[in-house]
Amino acid sequence: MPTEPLSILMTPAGARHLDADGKLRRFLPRNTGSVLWVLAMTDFRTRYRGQQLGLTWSLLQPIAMMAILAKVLQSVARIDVPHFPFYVLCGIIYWQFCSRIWSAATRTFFVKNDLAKRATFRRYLMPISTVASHCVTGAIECVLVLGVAILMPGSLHFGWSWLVLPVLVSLLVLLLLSLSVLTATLCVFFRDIAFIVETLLAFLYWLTPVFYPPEALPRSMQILVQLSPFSALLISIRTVLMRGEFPDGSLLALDFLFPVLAFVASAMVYRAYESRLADQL
Amino acid sequence: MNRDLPINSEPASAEVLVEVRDLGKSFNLVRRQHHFIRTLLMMTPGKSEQTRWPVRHVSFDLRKGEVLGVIGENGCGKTTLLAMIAGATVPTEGSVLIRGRLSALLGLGTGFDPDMVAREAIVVGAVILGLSWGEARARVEEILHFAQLEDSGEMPLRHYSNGMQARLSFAIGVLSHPNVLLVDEVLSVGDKTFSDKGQEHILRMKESGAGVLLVSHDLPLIRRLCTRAIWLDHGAIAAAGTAANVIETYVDAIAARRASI
Repeated sequence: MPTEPLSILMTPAGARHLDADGKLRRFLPRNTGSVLWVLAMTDFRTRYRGQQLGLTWSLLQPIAMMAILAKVLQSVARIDVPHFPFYVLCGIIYWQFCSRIWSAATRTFFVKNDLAKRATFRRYLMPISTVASHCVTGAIECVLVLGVAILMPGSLHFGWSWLVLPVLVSLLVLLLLSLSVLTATLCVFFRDIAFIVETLLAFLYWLTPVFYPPEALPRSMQILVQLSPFSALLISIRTVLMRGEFPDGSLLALDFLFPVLAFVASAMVYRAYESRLADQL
Repeated sequence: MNRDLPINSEPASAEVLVEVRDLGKSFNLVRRQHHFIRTLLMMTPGKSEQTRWPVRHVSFDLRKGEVLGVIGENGCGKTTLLAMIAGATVPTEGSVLIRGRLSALLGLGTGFDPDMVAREAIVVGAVILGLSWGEARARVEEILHFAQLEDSGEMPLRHYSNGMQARLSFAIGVLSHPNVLLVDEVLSVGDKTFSDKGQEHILRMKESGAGVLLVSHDLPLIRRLCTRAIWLDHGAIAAAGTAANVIETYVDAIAARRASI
């Protein structure tokens, strides 16, 4: 894809780069990377401005939840998962990461309406930048998880399976990017989407095995758990981190299935709506 | 270069920076509410009962070293026209061809987060106008100086007055050194000193071979700065030619309209 167009032709079909030999091509403006960077950075900075503890809050909350959830659940039900508090912490951090991103990115075009209206860059960069800025928070939280793991010896199990972690994390980011672009776009046309996403997240919180081991459920319920797009990846990541094993084949298939489906859906929806996005904002 | 070429002159040469051909934009008036499920499934909006064209059948060229004024009453389609040329909205029909880099100052306000300080806003603004991160950072001081805001570089935008914000966004726009600059009413906001400076800079851009499209209600300003002008009336070009002639036609027509009421 050429990145420095000499001339741009804008028609109802969208903007195209016009070659020297008069051919039309799609293009990415050469400063696309810079746009993504400044959008993500501003989003990150403004999120924590005016707070004394800033990022610390997103770290203290999961720890408090881990302490209480692990204690209560272990008293209520007989859960024999080794290192259960750490198991819960992984789940909470994972869930916070996913839910925060999805709900924040869905509202991107409304929160930054002024910018979205006059944006001459590709508008999908806006939800993507929201995801990117939350990924920084997520990375810092991962460091916290590692810190806690040191305090609870034995909770992490190193092994060759750790090599798949980057793949799993990339799939998770792809899933979140796709869902974000999808709902952010739809939300401009149907405002109910923001509430649907919130409701769906509340529902998925219980369906995704955030603080319970899926094996503890009856067989029929275990299939239900896999309906949550966030389940397979969480189970896989936990299998790798805490048992040092490779996720099994069917789990890996689901790890790929949801992100790919979401990506295809978001690409289709975005392309269908892109031209009318500006007029609805 | 012959300044008196008719505005729709063909063929387009390399001297032409912006080529607008039969440009039009329509909005659906009646059916604002989409049918949720149907649209979701078919990914197309239903037929709308009534269509309005804020801009239609507009064609003109902006050449190198030219300042083209766009005048017209409120609601005549100036802003929609500029938004289409800037690429902020997609035309419904026709085409816009742009040679080189364009930077657009669309309306007042900056589109920035009010919590940002000016230095951050400059980098963000310049990148959004098409510069890279490095190019934008290299121009921060120059832009602050031009906007006469050297002392307020670390001040959050929420404490800025409207005039200061307008100065800032104008400075970002012109100092990103575009080949084509679109200005929508930004010049009329600052004080006399800044307005003079802005005009001076527009003339300098003209000398250096850039093209400027200037939208304003300030007719003396258009007369002073513009080589040519177009009068946009109800979304179509009602008159085009030298700035003085177009302004005269426009003023006469408006006076006649007012007399007939």
